[in-house]
Amino acid sequence: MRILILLTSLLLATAAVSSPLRIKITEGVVEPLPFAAPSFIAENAAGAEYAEALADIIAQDLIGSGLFREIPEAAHISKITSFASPVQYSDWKAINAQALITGTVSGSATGQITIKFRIYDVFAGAELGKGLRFSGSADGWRRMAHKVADVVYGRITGETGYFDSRVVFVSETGRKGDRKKRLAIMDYDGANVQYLTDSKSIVLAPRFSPTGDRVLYTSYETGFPQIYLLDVGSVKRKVLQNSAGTMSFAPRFAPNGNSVVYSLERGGNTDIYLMSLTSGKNRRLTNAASIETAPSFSPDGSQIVFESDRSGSQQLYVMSANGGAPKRISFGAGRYGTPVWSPRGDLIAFTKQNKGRFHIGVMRVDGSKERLLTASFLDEGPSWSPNGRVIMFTRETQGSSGSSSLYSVDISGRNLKPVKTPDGASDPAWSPLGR
Amino acid sequence: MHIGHYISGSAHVGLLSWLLIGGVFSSSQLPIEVRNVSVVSLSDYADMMITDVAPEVEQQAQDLMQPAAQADPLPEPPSEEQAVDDIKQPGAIEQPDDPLRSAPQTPEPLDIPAPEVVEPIDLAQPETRDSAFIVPRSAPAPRPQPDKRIAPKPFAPPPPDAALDDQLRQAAAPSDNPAAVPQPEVDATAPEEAVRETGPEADTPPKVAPDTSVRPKARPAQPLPPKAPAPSEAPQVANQSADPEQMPKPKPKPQPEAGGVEQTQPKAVPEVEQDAIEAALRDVLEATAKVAEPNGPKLTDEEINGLKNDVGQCWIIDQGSPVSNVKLTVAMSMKPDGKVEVGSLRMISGEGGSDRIIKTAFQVVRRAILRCQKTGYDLPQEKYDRWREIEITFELNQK
Repeated sequence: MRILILLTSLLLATAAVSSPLRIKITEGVVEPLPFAAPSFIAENAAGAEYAEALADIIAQDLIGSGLFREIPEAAHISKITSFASPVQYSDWKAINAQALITGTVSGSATGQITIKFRIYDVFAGAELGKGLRFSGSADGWRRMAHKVADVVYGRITGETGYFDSRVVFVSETGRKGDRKKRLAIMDYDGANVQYLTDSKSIVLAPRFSPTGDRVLYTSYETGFPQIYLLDVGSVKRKVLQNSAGTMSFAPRFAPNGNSVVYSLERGGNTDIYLMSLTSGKNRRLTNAASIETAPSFSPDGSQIVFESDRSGSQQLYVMSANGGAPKRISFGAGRYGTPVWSPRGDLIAFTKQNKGRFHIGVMRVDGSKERLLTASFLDEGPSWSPNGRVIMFTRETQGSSGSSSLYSVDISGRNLKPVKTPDGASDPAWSPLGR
Repeated sequence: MHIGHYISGSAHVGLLSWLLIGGVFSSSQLPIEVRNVSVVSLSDYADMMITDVAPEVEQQAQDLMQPAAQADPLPEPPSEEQAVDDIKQPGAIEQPDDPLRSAPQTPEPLDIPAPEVVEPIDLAQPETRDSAFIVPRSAPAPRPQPDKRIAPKPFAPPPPDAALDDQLRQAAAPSDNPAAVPQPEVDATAPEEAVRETGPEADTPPKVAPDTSVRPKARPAQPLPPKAPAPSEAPQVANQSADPEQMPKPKPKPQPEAGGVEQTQPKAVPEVEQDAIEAALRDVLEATAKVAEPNGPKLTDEEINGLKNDVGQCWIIDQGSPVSNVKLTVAMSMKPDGKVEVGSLRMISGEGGSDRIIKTAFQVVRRAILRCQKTGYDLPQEKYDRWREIEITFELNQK
């Protein structure tokens, strides 16, 4: 016993000896991380064309996330003149750059360019991960820059980037009463817009497949809403659901890409159905006299969130992917609609209408911790970025001359900003990462 | 007559009171509830109704008019097949005829071949010592290592006139005057009999115990009265250990009526060896107790809060990120000038995320600590012993 007590005392004493000053910090600052991205070094004349533009796109991506702030090149003390030269960390510390991105670009006679880059943690005085090299067609230089930005974003934030992604949306032209709508696709930042359909018929709610190669959308070509499946590469399409006397809409892929969940109106009643793309068979998932629509799968494919007015007002419900009794998850004031499950699986984004205002919000999958991220005359149709960090949605301005445009907002509620499109735009759907 | 006056007076007083304070009892107008209603404008209505107009149908995909942008030849697919796993696109579906998908060429990232890789760490840099930070990043998530924390660094240096070795030797050395040897308080609460009550020592074969004792020969003259010769007890203990029934009991107090088993239990460990172990532990305890006493007064709340603020103002929070859910504790040694011994900055615990997220969280707090130290944290030099070693726990207050 004596030894035991001595041992205990020794442990206590040892703890006392080794106990340093202990403090706990529970508050920090919310501010963008300052970084420096000098122009890439052109290793030959063919690369000179892209040297500055590459660094510019990378910087725009990072700044656009709201998490980074670029230190302008004019403020740089050190100049990166050689990729192999040692980094003078003290010079970058002096201008408070926490991250430094350096790179080179070279071109070849075959139209290929090669990018090499490195990321440095300035205050740690070390490289952040290994340097990488991308090679590809010079025409794809923007995408290469997005890929570099994704790597930088990932290494600094610990999350996957979302810059190398695309958005399919409904492009709108013309007056409000005479809008021409067609499907379009673009880079996440609004560049490289291309159109997938003409404007002869109304198109709505495009949705990417999990692999990004196909798009589901609703079209009024027949006079009634019907679901179409479009191959992005060939632009060929086919009708998925065209039963006489029915209307099908609000389609969305299952995570495995082999099934589609959608709404079908038949005899004045709207329910949710699941269609196999391989067999073409349909299975009814809900059976209620109310309107059930806007279904969205959880990332693991086990559950579906949807909106329903079965309670008398539009609310959100979650049910098993096989159907069954749904569980209501929204209980706040107002009406809830267009739920979308986050790729991370932890949140559900939705549109909320309350007191004459529309909001984009998020809540946990059990309905708790509801947060409204936006408020305006009309915000609707949220779509998650592939990493589940940003939400893109439609904002429409008031009045007969009002127009629709795309906006994005961080799930923290910060960094609300418009997405540049050539014309009006609505119904955005973000692609998976890497298209 | 007086009654008439009273009645008249009361009536007047009542009337005046009503006029003066009657407004208090008046009811205010009920609030009017206002509700906004949505009105569908003619243009919106027309917009909705336009969907009922059947457009021309069944146009073929190849007939779709595409804007000029689409006609532009789009980039070729990447010619190189050197893909790196972390960039390679999962599950991409082949599109042999894919004019749109060919637009974004997929540059395939590669690890830079060895000849081309610049190794900045090997290059002479003013901050070469900072390269020590690579160790915690490249290593698996560090876990608390009590031995490492106790042994080399965190001990405060002993007073100049009492080196650690001296203290140990002094306590372990025989002394004619037992009172001169500092005895920890635990001695008073640990009577000799208590040792006999403990069972674990009985598990140890007696012939092994002397060999494993850290100081079997350091206590030859321990001023404790010898009880019995060890050699005669050893066989008894050996027999006892072999019998499971005679293993240590929870309350094996040496009662007179306890019988042979209880009488043999006190001999589980030879007392000389017990003494040696006790003495060794006591020595270490005394030594550590002396070392544990930092010099100078404690840091004030103001000084501690100042340090918190200094670090916190550089701790960039990324709300919404998994990193913000991580609880992370880092430890570091400080120089007298308030700067961090950069090589000592290490993570000792992290929870609330994957290894990658915890690693990123450590990078974030490391940047915060190193960035905001500038010329050194503002800590009182006279209390250096108090902040020579610092542990900081970062846990965002999720409101």
